[in-house]
Amino acid sequence: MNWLRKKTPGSWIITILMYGLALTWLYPYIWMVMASLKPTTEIYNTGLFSGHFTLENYRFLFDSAEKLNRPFLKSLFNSFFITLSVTGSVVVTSAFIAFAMAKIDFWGRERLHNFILFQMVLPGMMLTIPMFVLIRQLGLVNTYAAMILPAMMSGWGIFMMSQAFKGTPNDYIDAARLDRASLWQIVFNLMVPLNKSIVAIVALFTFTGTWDNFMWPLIVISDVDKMPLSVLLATFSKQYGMYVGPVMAGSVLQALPLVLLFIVFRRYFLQGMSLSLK
Amino acid sequence: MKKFFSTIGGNIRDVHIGALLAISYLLFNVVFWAYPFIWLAILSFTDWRFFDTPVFSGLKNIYIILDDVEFWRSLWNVARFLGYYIPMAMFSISLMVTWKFVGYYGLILYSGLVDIPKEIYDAARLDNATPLTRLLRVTLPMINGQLIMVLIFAITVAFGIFTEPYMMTGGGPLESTNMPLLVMYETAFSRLQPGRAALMAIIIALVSYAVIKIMRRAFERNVELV
Repeated sequence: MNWLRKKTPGSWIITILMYGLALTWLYPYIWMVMASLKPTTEIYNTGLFSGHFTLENYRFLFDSAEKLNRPFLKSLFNSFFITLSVTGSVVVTSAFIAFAMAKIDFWGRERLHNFILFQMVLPGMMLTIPMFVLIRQLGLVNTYAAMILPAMMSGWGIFMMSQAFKGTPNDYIDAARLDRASLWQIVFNLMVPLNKSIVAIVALFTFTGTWDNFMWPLIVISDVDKMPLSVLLATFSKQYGMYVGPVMAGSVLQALPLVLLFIVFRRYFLQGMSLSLK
Repeated sequence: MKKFFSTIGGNIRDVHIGALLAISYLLFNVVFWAYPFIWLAILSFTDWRFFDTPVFSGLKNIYIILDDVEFWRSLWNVARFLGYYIPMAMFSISLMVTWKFVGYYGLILYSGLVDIPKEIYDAARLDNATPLTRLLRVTLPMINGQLIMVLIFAITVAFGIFTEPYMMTGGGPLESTNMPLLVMYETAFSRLQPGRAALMAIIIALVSYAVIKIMRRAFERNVELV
């Protein structure tokens, strides 16, 4: 791509065009943030950066718990609780099982590998309905467990980590063993730090997927006190769609953690992305 | 590997730890994968409304789904989604979902682009290749793997669309934006026909698998650097 780096008029035009495209893509986000800061009556009839900016919409969201029976603050907590539990569990279990898959020659390892590949090929939505039947039989409808338990281990996470772990030289593990390192120490003080990018990718994708998950909590949760933000926001905007300002404020809250995570872990994210595609 | 562990003398213990970890994953999957999977099979041949006792109904579910215009319409809508068919409602959903994922697609393609060796472009320049030839003969074949990946990803996304039509259009106007998962959801939880919904899930999975298979056969190339 050398010809792009030379400062010819053509490359300038392409650069400006690219920034233009990026801005076009960003525009809905900018609009969302601006709209969340204006009174609803001004959203559609003032310019993007004009109008009276207030935090009224956010206050409305957090006050609406009593008035409209939409506990947004609680749902924000629910989302964090569910997402962090799932992500934590997936990272820990994936790291251990991936270590076993990559570095321990136990009986049936090949078969387990094939089983995980088979699981990854099958679309998850196939099991949605029978999973609901199972959750109902376990008496877990309307509980946090319904959203956390089925997602606590991930075949994809194990697969990704074990592919990366295979590349870590055995000598390191050898040395750690000689120093009498425990399994926990080998996995968390050796394998995980040496494969940071792939662990970050598994954590980020799990976090994003759980945070944004909509269909499954919609099915298993009907109690507003246990709804994650994604579902509560949907029920709110379905019923009170005319409150555009508060809906936008809610959407900003829904997007914010993912944006922050990406900014903080951007470096790992890009590394892991190209790793996972090889 | 074997050699290493036997030199340390931890062979037996390590093999046990490995097996134990594997077993923990298998146990998890017995409950949250195999058991629902069996239910999926049972439900497909069952008449049940969640509250009464399930009744074996043979192939009745298949006959009903074969006659279910709404369901087949929703599968056709996936094709329309992927092809950007013009009716405005579907267009807006296509636009929105594409916008949502275009960043991922860009990253995937980008990671392919930066891996193309510069020498190939130099060689192309020596052969006086025009920018267009360079694009068609060098760049696109070199990122074939990434293009296929984006394609498969887009197909998977299309079959899995649920939130947008649920929120924006509810499947309307006149079912023009109804998507398979939305039909499945409503069959199970509004019309209380989990059996039929389970069979729909199987059909959706089979169709998406077939589409991916066909696309790969049509577009996948084995590009090797000599």
